[in-house]
Amino acid sequence: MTELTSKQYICIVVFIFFTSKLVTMPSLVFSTANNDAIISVLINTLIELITISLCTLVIIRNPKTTLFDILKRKIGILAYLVIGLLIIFLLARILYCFQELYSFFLETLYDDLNPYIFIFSALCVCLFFAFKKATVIGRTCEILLWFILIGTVLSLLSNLEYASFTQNMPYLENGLSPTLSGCKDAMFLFGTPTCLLLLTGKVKPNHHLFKNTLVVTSICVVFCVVACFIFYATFGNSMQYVLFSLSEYSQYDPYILELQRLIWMSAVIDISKLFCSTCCLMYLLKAALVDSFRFKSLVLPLLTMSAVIIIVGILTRFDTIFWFDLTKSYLSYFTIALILICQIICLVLSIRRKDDKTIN
Amino acid sequence: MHVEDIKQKLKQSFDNATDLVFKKVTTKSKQIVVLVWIENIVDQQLLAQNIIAPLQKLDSKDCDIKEVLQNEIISFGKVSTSNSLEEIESKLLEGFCIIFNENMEQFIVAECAKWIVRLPNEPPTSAVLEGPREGFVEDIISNTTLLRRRLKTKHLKIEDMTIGNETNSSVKLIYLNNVADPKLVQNVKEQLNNIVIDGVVDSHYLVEFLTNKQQQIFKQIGSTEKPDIATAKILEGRIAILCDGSPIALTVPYILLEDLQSSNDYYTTTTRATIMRYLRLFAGIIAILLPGLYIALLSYHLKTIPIKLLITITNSIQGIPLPPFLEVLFIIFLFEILYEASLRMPRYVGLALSVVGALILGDTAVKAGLVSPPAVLIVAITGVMSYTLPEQISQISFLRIVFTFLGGLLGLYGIIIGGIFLIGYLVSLDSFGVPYLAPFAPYISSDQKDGLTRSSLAKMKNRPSSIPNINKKRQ
Repeated sequence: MTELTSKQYICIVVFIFFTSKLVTMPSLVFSTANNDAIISVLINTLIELITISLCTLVIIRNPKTTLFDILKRKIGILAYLVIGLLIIFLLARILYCFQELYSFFLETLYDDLNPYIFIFSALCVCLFFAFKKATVIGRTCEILLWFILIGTVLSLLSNLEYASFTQNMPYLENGLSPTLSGCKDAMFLFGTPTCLLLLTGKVKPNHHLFKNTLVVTSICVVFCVVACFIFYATFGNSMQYVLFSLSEYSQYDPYILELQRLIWMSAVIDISKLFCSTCCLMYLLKAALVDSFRFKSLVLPLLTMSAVIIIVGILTRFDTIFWFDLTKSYLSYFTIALILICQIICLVLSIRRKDDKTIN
Repeated sequence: MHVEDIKQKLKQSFDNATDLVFKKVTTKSKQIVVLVWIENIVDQQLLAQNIIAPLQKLDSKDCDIKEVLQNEIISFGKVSTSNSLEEIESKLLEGFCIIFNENMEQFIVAECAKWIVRLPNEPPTSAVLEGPREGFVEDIISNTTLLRRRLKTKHLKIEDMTIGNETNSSVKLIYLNNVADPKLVQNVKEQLNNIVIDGVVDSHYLVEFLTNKQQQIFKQIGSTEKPDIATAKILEGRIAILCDGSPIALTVPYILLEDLQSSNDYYTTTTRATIMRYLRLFAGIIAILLPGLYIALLSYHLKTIPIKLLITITNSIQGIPLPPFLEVLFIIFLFEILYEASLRMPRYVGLALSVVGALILGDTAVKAGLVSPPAVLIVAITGVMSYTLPEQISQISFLRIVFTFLGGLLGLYGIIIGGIFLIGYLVSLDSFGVPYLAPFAPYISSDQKDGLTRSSLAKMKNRPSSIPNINKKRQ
C-alpha cells in the first residue's frame, strides 16, 4: 500500500495548516496590522481554506495521475514553470521552518545551539522522511496529531485567565489598510497548502474526503483564529515583540512564574509540530522532483537541495529579523502570485467533464 | 530383495553408525525377517512386544508376512510400504522401524518413534495469574496436539514441510482455512520453501528468513510459548509456525500492539486490562526516554526543573567525578552486564548475582561517590519498567542507550529528533504487508476495541481488520 488514505491526507492537511501558524505568525501580523491583526488572520485563513478545498478537489478528481502529468497534458512545457515555482516555495518554506525551529530553541530551551549541528541533524531526520513512501509521512502525522492537538489546546488554556479580551479594541480604527497590509505581509505563512497539489495521484480518496477535509479545515480555521485572539488578548501591544508567541507565555507574564518550568512542554509540542511539518514539506519537495524530473536516484537531487538549505541557512545564520523582513517583502509577493496561479490551475483541473467517471 | 545387500547399503549410507540396529527375527515357520531401526529414538519395548514377539510366534509357512505384518501384527502408529532406499533412510531418522525379508518386494515402514518429551509445564517467560498454564514443549507432535485440543474444527489446517539439509526439521504451518487470507498463507509458504539452510535448531532460525529486511531493531515475527495465545492469534487470522525441537510457536503477521496485549488481559476485567495496557505503554516510553531526559534536563535545561527537585539533585550529584551523561551511561552499562550475566549464570548463582549487583554494587558505588543516587534510581526505574514489555526488552535497552546519547549530546533537541525518527521508523515497518503500528497508524477505528482499550469479548463481533482475513465475522 503506497497510497495515502483519506484520514492520513486530512492529518497532513492539518499539519500543513498549522505549520508556523501558532509560532511566529501572530506576532508577524500584529507588527503590521496592530489591533486589526485578528481580521487579517481571519481573511488569510479563509483564503487558505479555499486553497485547501480546491487542492482536495483536484486530488479527488485525479487519483491516479500526478500533478506534473496533468499539467504537462494541459499546459505543456509550462508545467515545469509551475513545478519550479512550487519547488522554490517549498525550499523557502523549509528554510523558514528551520529558522523558526532554531530561533525557537534559542528562545526557549537553549542558551546556545551550534547552527551547524542543528541544521545537519534536522536535515537528517527530514531526509529520512523524504526517502520514504507517502504512507510513512501520513502515518507519522496520524500518530503525532493527537499529542500535538491536545498539547496546543492545553498551552492555550493555561494562559486564558490572564487574557484581556477588550484591550485590542476598537477594530478597523484606521480603515481597511492595516488589515490588508497584515494579510499581504503574512501571506508567505499562509501559502503552504498550495503544495498539497503535489499529493495529486498519491491519495486514495473515499467518498467523504472533500466533505471531511472541508469540515476539518474549517475547525482548524476557527482554532487558529481563536488561538490568535487569545494571544492578542494576552500580550496586547507587546505582541509585536513576542516572536515565538506560544512558548513565551511564561517569559512575558510575571503572574505565571510557575509555568516557566513547564515551558519545555509547550516547546516540545511546538518543536515536534514544526519538525513534522518540515518533514511533510521535505517529502513534498521530493515528490515534486520525482514526479517532474523522473530522477532514477533521489540521492543527488535531494542532497543538492539539502546543500542549498544548508548554505542559505548558514549564510543567513537563521536570523529572525532577516527572515521577517524577507517574509514581508519578496516572499509575500511571490506567495500571492503562486496562490493565484495554483487556484486558477485548481479551478481548471477540477472542472468535471461529462465523460469523467472519477470518484465524487 | 537381497537382505545382505540392503544391509550393506544401509550400513554404508549411515557410515557404519553404531546406533543403527539390525535384528534378524526367526519365525516359528523358520522364515527370517529383518528389522532395522535407530537405537534410542524408537520405543524398543513397543517393538519387542508388538512386532518382534508376534513375529516369533508366527508359524504359518504359506502366509504373506507383509500382509500379516500390515494387517494383523502392527496395530499402532502409521504403517506404510516403500521400495525406495532413500525414503527408508529418512524414515529411519524419523524414528520408524523398517521391516523386510528375502521374499518381500517392498519395505514395511512402521512408526515407533519415542522422543524424550517434557511435560507441557507453564513457560517461565509467560506466567499468568489466572488462565491456562500449559506451555509448548520441544516435541512438535505434542504442540500440534495442544493446538488441536483448543481448535476442534475441521477448518484447522496443518501443513507439513521439512527444512534443513542436515537436520531435516519438521515444520508445521497451522491456520484456519476459513479465516486466514490465502494470499498470506501462500506468501508464508513460499518464504518457508525458499529457505536453504543446513539446519534449523530452533524456530528462531526461521525468523531471519521470514523477515524482509535483515537489520531490524524491532522484531517482525511474533512468538509465543503458550498454546492459548497461539490459538487466539490463529482465530484472528494469523498463521502459526511450529518447528520440531522448539517450544516457541511463531506467528505472522506481527504488530507492535501484540506486545502491549497480554494473555492476562483476557482473563481479567476489561477495565483492569485497559489500565494495564496504558500502564505498559507508559512504562515502555519511560523506560526508553527517562535516562535521556534526565541527562538532557540536567545538562542543558536546568531552568525547567522545579527548584526543590533541582536542589535535591544538585546536592546528590555534588562531588561525583563523572558528568551526568557518563554517570548514567556507566550505570546503564553495569545494568546491562548484570542482566546478561544473570541470564547465563546457573539459576542459584544468578539469584545471588542479582542481589550482589543490585544491593552491593549499587550501594557501594553510591557510597564510594562514583555515582549519584538519582542516576542509580533513574536506571533502576527504567530497568524495572522495561520488563512490562518482556518481548521488547532488547529493543528497549538499545533505544534507551540511543536516547541517552542523544540527550547527552543534544539535549531535548536530540530527544525530539530521536522521537520523530523512531516514530517514522516504526511506521515504515510492516510484517507480511501489515503496518507495524496498526491499528493506530493507519488508524482503524473498528480495531480499537482490542487496541489500547479492551472492550468485552461480546462486543468484539468482528475479527481485527489490521490482520488480513477472509472471514470478518467472529460472532
